[in-house]
Amino acid sequence: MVSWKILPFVVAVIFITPILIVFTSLFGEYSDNWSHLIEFVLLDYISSSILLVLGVSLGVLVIGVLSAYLVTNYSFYGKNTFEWALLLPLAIPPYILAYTFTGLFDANGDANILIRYLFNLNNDFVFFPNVRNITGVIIVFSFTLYPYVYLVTRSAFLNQSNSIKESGRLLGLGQIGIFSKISLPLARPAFIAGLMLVIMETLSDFGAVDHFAVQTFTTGIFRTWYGLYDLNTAMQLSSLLLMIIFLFYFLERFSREGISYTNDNSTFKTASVIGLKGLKSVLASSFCFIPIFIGFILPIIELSLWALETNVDIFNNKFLVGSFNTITLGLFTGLICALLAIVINFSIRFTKNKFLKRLNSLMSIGYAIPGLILAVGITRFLVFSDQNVFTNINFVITGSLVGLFLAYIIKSYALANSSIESGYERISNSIDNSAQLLGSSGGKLLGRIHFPLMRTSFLTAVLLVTSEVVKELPATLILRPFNFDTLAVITYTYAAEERMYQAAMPSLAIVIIGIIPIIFLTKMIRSSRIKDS
Amino acid sequence: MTQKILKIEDLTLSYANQKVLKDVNLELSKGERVSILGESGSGKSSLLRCIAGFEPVNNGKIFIKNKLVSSNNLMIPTEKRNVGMVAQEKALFPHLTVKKNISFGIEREKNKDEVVTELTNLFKITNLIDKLPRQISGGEQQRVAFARSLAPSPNLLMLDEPFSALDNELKQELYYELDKIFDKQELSILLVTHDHEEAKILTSRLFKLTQGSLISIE
Repeated sequence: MVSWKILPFVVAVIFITPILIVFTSLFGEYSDNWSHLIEFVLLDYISSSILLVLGVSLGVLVIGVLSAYLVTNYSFYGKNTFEWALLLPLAIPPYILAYTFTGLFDANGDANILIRYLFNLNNDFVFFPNVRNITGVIIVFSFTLYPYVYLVTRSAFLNQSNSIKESGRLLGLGQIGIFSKISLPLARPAFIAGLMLVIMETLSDFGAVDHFAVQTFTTGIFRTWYGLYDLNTAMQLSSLLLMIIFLFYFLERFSREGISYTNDNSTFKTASVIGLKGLKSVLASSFCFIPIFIGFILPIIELSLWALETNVDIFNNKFLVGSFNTITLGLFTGLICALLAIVINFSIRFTKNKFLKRLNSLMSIGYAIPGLILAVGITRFLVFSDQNVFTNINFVITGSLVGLFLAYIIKSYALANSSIESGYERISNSIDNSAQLLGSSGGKLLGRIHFPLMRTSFLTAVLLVTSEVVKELPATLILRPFNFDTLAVITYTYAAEERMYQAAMPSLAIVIIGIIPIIFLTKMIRSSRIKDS
Repeated sequence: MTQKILKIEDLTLSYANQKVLKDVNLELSKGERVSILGESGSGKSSLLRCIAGFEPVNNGKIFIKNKLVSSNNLMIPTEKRNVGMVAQEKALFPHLTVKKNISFGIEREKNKDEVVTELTNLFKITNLIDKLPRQISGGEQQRVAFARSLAPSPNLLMLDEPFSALDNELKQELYYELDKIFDKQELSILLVTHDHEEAKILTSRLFKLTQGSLISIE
């Protein structure tokens, strides 16, 4: 029994050490760079981060909540397709949509060229406003991150019993009243939880804000480290950002606890779907189509055109090696995370230890930590290990793949854990009891009973982690070994040099890999719809 | 002359070519209490849903207070019919306190506080007003559901097996209290149940719904 408790502790220590290292910087020396930061840039970092969070929150709530309400409660043209297609922008990392936006809407971008061509205008005529500003970033984040809100809110709307809405109608509420006074307040814990995830993603992002030259905490951390070569100050800045992110993390956890009250009804009645006709149906379809178009179809078309138009050999050695590295890293991390999650969740179930359960929940915190900050903490951790642990055996782990794997595993463990946790919820405790009575306990119970029953959850966990790793940019950029490229790094490097045509193919590859877990989610959504009907 | 609260003329309802209600006729006057008995799946709840405006009718007419509310080409929305319904599932709003649940349908009324006080006294739930539905028992939830549906002074109160989830002792207690309240408020009641005894205690006219047809039995 004791041995099953050790692994979660060891893993938790490894997970938490880099984060603690970042925080220890707060108690160290403060360099002169701080006076520069305070005088010139810190206020910008704070104000633009606040503006970004407010703008993106508004954007994702409007798109995510309204589209979820429409597809759950009404029937209109294309509703069944929109139900799953609204998730597709999840496959597009914000930085790739940002590259597409500048390629389209810059003064010499394709959209402006098209307008000039269609209306026979001068070459200096610019129709679309500049997107390289905070408004552009808000639009990019809103259209790539709204699925986080859509997914949980739709589930909350589906779980609202029709009898509650009917009571509202009997008490005098029309359709708008039902939405604003019953459905929306009941779904609030769900969409607040989704919103917190969006805020964490927004504050963690590096690629999109860097491309649009918007000053935020993450670009500040990167510049302090790579521009001022001051790792300690970068860690202190990271600590400040982490404190803000942890606040949202705990708010998200708190919100999730409230979700259950919407499922409380033992006499649940499935909501009746209201048919929309004519203009109302067209408006509902358009509202659902726009986010899919901007967040998925537009970048796919643009990237495909760039990839086809460019004369360079897109399947060159760099692309092939980058693809191989990316997929290998993704799958390997996926396997490790899924195995860790299954063993740790088994330990919790087998030992019935509540402390282990809390520890496991704490380990999921890595998802909230920006890749850049993880990279900072891990670098310090590896340097310390090299200087104090590996000196005698002439072994250097700084700059090796170890740091990169560690960052990926810490950041993606939560995804694997949520999949495995929900898999375990479907296995009745009586199965464990029967297996134990028949002599299968410990490792045998895990290997012979749980693992075969959890194959789908395990595969989902591997795919979810793989897609997350494929998209991860800042941690890869900093922790990768010398001359080791992934698709995200190749995309970033080309985009930074404004070579968008060359960036197209690796971007498309990232999107294609990112679609795989969405197909799984889509299947789940479809099955929920079949159950409803 | 007694005012007609509900009048149903030759009502027919079908689901997927299967007739659930066949030429149903029913009249209910102000203050009158009527029961409809029937087995599960006999169409009792469907009849109430048609009266409430949740289901469109295939044929026939429904009048509430002499106003046509449902026919094969007309369907006045539920929220404009001023009818109340209490069902087995109670359907209290889980995010609102007992007080807010009760005042939900009369939010714009000036005397809403007095109405809530009167109803909470009537249903003996004054001590629960600040609690959420999940913090009170099933029987208490049912009392709140009754109080909430009576707050907007509905033309007609429909009861769809509201006591079926309660234990026998609680049922008897509620029957006695509701009987007094219905009398005092001169409420028009349409009760749907499969419990003959319940129907006899709470109502004066009994019907049976068999294979979609409504037959008077007492």
